[in-house]
Amino acid sequence: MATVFELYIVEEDGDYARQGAQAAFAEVDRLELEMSRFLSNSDISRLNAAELGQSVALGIDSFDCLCRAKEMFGKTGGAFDISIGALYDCWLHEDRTLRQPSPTEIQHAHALTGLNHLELDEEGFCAEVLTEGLQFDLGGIGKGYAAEKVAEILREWSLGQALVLAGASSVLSVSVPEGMSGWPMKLRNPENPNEVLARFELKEGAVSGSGRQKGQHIIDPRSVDVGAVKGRLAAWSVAPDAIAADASSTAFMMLSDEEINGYCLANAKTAAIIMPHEDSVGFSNQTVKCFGELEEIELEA
Amino acid sequence: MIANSALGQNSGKKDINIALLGAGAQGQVLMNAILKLGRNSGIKFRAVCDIWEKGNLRRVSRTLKAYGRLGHKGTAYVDYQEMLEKEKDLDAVLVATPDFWHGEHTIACFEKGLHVYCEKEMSNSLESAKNMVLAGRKAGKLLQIGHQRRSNPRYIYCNDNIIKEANLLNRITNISGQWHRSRAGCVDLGWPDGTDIPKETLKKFGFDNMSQFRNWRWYKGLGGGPIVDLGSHQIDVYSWFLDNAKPSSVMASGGVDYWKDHEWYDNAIAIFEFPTKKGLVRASYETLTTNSSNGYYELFMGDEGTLLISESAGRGEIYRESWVEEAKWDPWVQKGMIDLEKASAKAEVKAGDDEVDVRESATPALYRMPKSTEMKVPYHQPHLVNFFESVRGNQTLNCPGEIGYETAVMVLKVNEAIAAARKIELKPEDFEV
Repeated sequence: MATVFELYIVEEDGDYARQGAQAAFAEVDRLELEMSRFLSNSDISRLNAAELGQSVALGIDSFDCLCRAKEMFGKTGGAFDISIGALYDCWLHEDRTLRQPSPTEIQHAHALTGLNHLELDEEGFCAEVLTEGLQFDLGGIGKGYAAEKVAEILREWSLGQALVLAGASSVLSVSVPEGMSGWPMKLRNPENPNEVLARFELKEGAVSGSGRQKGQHIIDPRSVDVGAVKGRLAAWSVAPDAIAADASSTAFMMLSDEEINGYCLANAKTAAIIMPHEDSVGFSNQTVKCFGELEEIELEA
Repeated sequence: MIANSALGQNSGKKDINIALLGAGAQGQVLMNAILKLGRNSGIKFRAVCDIWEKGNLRRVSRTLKAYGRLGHKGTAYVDYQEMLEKEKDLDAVLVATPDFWHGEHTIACFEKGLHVYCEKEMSNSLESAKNMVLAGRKAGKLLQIGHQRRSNPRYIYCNDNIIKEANLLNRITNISGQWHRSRAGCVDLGWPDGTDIPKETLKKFGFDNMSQFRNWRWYKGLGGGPIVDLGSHQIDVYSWFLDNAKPSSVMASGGVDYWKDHEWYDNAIAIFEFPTKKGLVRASYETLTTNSSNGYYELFMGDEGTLLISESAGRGEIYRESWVEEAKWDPWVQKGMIDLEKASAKAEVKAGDDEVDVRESATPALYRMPKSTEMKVPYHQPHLVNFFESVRGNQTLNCPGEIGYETAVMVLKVNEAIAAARKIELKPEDFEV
């Protein structure tokens, strides 16, 4: 996952907490071997190398994570898509600045994009690609999945008063420590880290952030006509679990305000905080927009 | 379907019913590699046994039940004898218990007429290891020892193609290898509150307490320390790539220098002498538990080339000594056996120079194995498939008990050499069962 996991655990017995953390980190290492597309024998690499019609038997975790990825693909109208790699290669240079692909290149990349080309067989824990050459990358959801598995282990160890940081971009509250009303969170302006955009307390569930650097573009996979967009500068998602938070924050970078609002209304305990790009449609002077019904979020003036 | 059929995923193969005896981390690795063979593998789990009921046993039994729609069953047992008694339709057992149990578990399976895949080290005692081989012969059943590199296609490629067919290293004179683990990776394992094994169960199965059960590898009489846990895999490859040569001696140094509460040596450095038809090969091996620098690999050095290989994904390099003409290796590049990545840095000799430019040797040229040799399945899967196909009569074992015994001799003698603080001479008959 090429990221650093950190754990904050409230527990009197430091040795016991360390051993529990060690078990949790071992689980992250194990998931990396299952899911990394950079390891030639991981489940995801085997799926990426699959021939048309080949059924690839998966481990239980890769299978579950792909199921959640497909669910999030559906819930975000296809904006969150773990098979978007071909479109990125087509539209962007490695530094995510824009290149101008030919119409044929665009058509080809679109043909190789979309989780509707992936069939998951729940009876057999296996997957089949319906279009050869599709490439999957769990980068936008794997951290969230691993954070949930870490939380599972911490609960097994009765170390529930804990916070899981999966990189700097996903945070999961296993539960709030006694005597605290929540884990204090602050969201910063990625272009000006000294500027705090919002503060809130995370009680349960997770918060994830996505962003882009100046000059960089992102790809909206939903339509051939859209392609590379500047989208938003940053988007944060609060959700009941880290998987939904991780995936939806990526989608919020390109969904319209109306679509984000609709997503937050349709999903319980879900909120979005958006930092629009000045070029975006409907941009106003209001720096940050908030959607959903988490009252605790305080937007800074 | 090409890749799958090569791994025995053809439907219509005879079903093999198996049980997992020992459901710890290694047992789970084996289970997952088998589950990923898919629905047509014909391998069916029937049961799992582990004395840690609220830990390993619960976790594995739950996973096998989840895969129940594929015909697996995860009937859970704490006592292996009860499992062997009640599970009437087993064909084979995977033994992945602590080393000191391998002998008794394996022999009990043979007595029930079952084939056995036993994790390395095949035993912590050579007498017990020998008895395992003898019991297998008596029962007429197969014993595969879990040195999984013996079935790894990349390792087989190195041995068959690079070392044997192309002879790119020419005469191998030295081997070195290591497995270094970080301090953080060697901290004692704990267990969640409320999941302790009852004291009487621990005692019945040879453990003083729960901590010893979780960290058995560090205890004398139970495991063998890092030289056995890690070194065994690689020292096995030393012998394999030398045509299963046996060393004539071993000297070693090591100690309990860092982890003061452990019984086995937390670091060990060994030197073997392997007499071969081409001459003596001197081989060193080092394992550390305080620093992970450079991870794990094996390095075979010949007078014309070097092979660096590791089970770790992606590591595989072949170097041509700079004095060896590029043209000598070109045919193997053209055949696709190796790919040239970086030509050797050549010394520039200017016309008219009448002085020798004294400096370090030119960098050797770097070659890699072709992409087609990349490991595309879980590391342990090919070795398990080799076992299952051998049970079906379609293959022969890549690491039968006799080979596992030879490796056990090499590795256990390292600990003996450290304790004796002297060079130990080994005779060919020391490796025979």
